Amino acid sequence: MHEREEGRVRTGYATYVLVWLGLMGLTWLSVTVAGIEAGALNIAGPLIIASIKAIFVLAVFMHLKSEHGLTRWVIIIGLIVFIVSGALVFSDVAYR
Amino acid sequence: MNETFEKTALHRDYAASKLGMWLFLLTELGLFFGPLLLYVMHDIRHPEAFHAASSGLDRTIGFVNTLVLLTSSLTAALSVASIRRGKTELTLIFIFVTVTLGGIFLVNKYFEWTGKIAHGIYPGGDAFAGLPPGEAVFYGLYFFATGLHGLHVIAGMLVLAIAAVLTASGIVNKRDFVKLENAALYWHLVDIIWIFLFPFFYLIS
Repeated sequence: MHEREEGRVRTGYATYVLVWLGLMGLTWLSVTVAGIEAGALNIAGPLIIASIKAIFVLAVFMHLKSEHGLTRWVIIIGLIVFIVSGALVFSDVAYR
Repeated sequence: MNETFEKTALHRDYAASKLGMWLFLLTELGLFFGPLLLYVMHDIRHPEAFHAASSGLDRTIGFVNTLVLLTSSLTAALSVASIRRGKTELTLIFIFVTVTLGGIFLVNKYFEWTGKIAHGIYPGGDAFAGLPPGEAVFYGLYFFATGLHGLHVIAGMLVLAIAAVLTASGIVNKRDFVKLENAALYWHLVDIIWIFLFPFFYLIS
C-alpha cells in the first residue's frame, strides 16, 4: 500500500497556479463572448468555455489525469452517462 | 494476536477511499443535473421570458463569485499539495483561506438573494406571482439551484474545517492524507457545479 502511495504522481505548486490563471482568463472570456451579439455563439460559447474549465478542474485540481484503473473508468463512464442523457433530452426537446 | 491486530489497524485502502468519494460525487452531479435539464427544457419553451429574467440578475456579482470560488479551488488543491510535502502549517493556512473564500461567496449570494427578495421576487412573493410564466420558472430554478449549491458550499466549509482539525491534530499527515484529499475533492465539485450554474443563469439566456 505504501509503495502505491509513494508512487502517486505529485503535482507542483506552479502547475496549480498556472491552471488557476487559465481558469480566471476563461471566465473573463466567457463573459466577453456572452456580451457579443453573435447569435448561437452567445449560447454555445459560454457553455463550451464552462466545459473546458470543468475539464481543467477535473484533470488537474481533482487529479483525474493521474488516477488509474477502476477509479478512472468509473469517473469517465459516469460522466459520459450524464453527457449522453443530457444530449438525448436536449435533442428530444429542441427538435420536437 | 497482537501483531494481527496491529496490521488490521494500520491497514488503509487509499484506492477504495477515493473510489467511494468519486461515486458519491457522481450522485451529487446527478442532483444538479436534473434542475439544469429542466432549465434547458423551459429555456427552449420560453426563450424571451428567460432572457428578460436573466437580465434581472447582476452579472458582476456572478462574475466576482466565480473568481472567488475558482481561487478557493486553487487554495484547496494547494492544501493537499502542502500536506503531501509534510508542511502542516501551510496546509492549515490554505484550508483557512479556502473556507474564508467560501464565506465571501455566501455573503455575495446573501446580498444577491436579499436584493431579489426585497422586490418580492421569490417563490411565494407578491411580485413573483405576477411574473409571466417563463420568468417565474426561471426564478424558481434560480432559487432552487443556487440555494442547493449554497447548502453545498456550507457543507464543504464544514468538511474542510473538520479536515483542518484532523490536520492540526496530526491524524491527517504526510503519509495519510486521504481525508483532506476527499474534502478537497468535494470542494472542487462544488466549484465545478458553479462553473456551470454561472453561464446558465447569468450569461446565456
